[in-house]
Amino acid sequence: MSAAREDAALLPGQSPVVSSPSPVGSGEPSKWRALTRGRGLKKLLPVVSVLIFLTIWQIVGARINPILLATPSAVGQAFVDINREGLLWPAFSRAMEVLVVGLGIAGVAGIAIGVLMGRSDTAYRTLNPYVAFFQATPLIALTPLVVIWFGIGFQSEVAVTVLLAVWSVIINTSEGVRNTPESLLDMARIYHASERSVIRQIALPHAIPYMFAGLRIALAKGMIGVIIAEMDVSLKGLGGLVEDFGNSFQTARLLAAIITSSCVGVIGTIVLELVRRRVAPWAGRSKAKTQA
Amino acid sequence: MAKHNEQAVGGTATARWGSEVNVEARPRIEIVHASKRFRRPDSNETFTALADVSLSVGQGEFISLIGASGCGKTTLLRMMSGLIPSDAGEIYVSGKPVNGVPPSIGFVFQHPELLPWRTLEQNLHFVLKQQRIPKPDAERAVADKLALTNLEEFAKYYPQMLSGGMQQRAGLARALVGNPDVLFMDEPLSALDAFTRRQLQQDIADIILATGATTVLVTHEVDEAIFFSDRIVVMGTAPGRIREIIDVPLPRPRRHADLLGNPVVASLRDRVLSLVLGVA
Repeated sequence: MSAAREDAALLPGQSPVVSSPSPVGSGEPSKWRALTRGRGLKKLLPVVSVLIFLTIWQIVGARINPILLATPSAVGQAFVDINREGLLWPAFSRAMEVLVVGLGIAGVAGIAIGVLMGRSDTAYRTLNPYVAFFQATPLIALTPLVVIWFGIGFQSEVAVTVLLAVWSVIINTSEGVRNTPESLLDMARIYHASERSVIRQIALPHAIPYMFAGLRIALAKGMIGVIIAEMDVSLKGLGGLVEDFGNSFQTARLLAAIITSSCVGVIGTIVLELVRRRVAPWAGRSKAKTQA
Repeated sequence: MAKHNEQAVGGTATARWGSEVNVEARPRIEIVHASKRFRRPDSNETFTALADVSLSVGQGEFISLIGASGCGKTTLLRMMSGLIPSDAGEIYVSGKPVNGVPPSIGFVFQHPELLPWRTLEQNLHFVLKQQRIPKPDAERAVADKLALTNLEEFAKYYPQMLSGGMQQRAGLARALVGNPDVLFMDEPLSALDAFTRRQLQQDIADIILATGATTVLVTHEVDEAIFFSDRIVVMGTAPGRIREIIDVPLPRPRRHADLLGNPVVASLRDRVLSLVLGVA
């Protein structure tokens, strides 16, 4: 996509000087191209895009019943308010806690089961029906049952998160292990490598990009688990705020709570990427084998 | 002509098997009426990949398997190295029937097959760790083989940071780090450009001669086979079989420069090519 722009940028006879921003589609495509030409400007594009979006939102939102849609400025004010009331930070940290513990358990269990399924055909054939089944089931519907098992509270929320998140980790890990190049396994056989060596030095490192792809999907699903569990079960934390504000038509606060939960997810994604770079510097960006 | 063998095993006199009589030297590799059938992937039909192959390779000898694709040369190599079983007949390496990968072999693959998440020295240590070599000995062996392959400066590099030729040298260093009795090479230079290949042929020939390992090379390059080998095993297709075994009456070590315009090389090349092309 950027190739086209770069071609455009190479057209002769165009001034390399970037003109001041002009409205899009106002019959001046050359100016628009000039705007998006510079490297620095291209990097700024996301910021510009968000600013334009917020402006439009502000303009449109101001003309609409605030119950239907709050303006960005109202949402900003709501952030300040719920923070002052001491609601924001506990909710945020609780969601973080549930996510970290839930994703941790899903990660460890998922990788262990995934490696087992990846290395043993028997395990794969035995477990794959369940994995395929649960991956395809909207497990969020099991939340009431989880509450019956674990009661109302932190444990249930973690359980729901794990239940939603673990399958993508299992599937991606086993897929990564099973995709270990045959030639590397031949190499291992030539030198009489033990199964332990094969797993630790060949299969696991090879599967790491797959695992992180799985963990990213797990993170997204886990976030759903956290919020739904809090909405349905404990009425605490971010989900609790969403439920409260939604029921009392405080739209600005509702959006503030939702944006906070997005932040939890984004922070999680960034942390995952940092960990991946540390654990597997040789691997490029995660390659997703199975999508959500 | 026997002179090179003394160098090959570091002073221990070992006769080249077949040409001189030496009762003590039993062949390092013996293939006795081995055959292999494969199932076609799309049906239940089977076809004969190798039919009744017999071959002996002497201590310290270098042989090449050459032939058109489908002649079973790689299959034969994989059977010798124990990666795939033979259907009939026996294969002996170092006097023991091959059943799984024999001990003390090295293998250089078509692509280097280095672990991308390990440095060169860690890749070599992988081999020695499986053999439970004590750490100090392993360190010494790794440093030794990296020096032999001119890679000591790159010990801490990851494979992807090196050129294809250097990666393949590292592949050779790994194959040799356990001081194997037998070295198998499966078209190790086919992915390299012509100049790198020549240079590497020279390096590899010298290194192998220094270690004295018995070597079996699979190649589709006639000149490569002539440059390396004591004997060239020319294989035919449908079914895969040995057509002829050709002696290379040139002393080792050899230099590419010395072989230029050599009439012996020219006639060997013609002979091998005409066999491979089926016009002999």
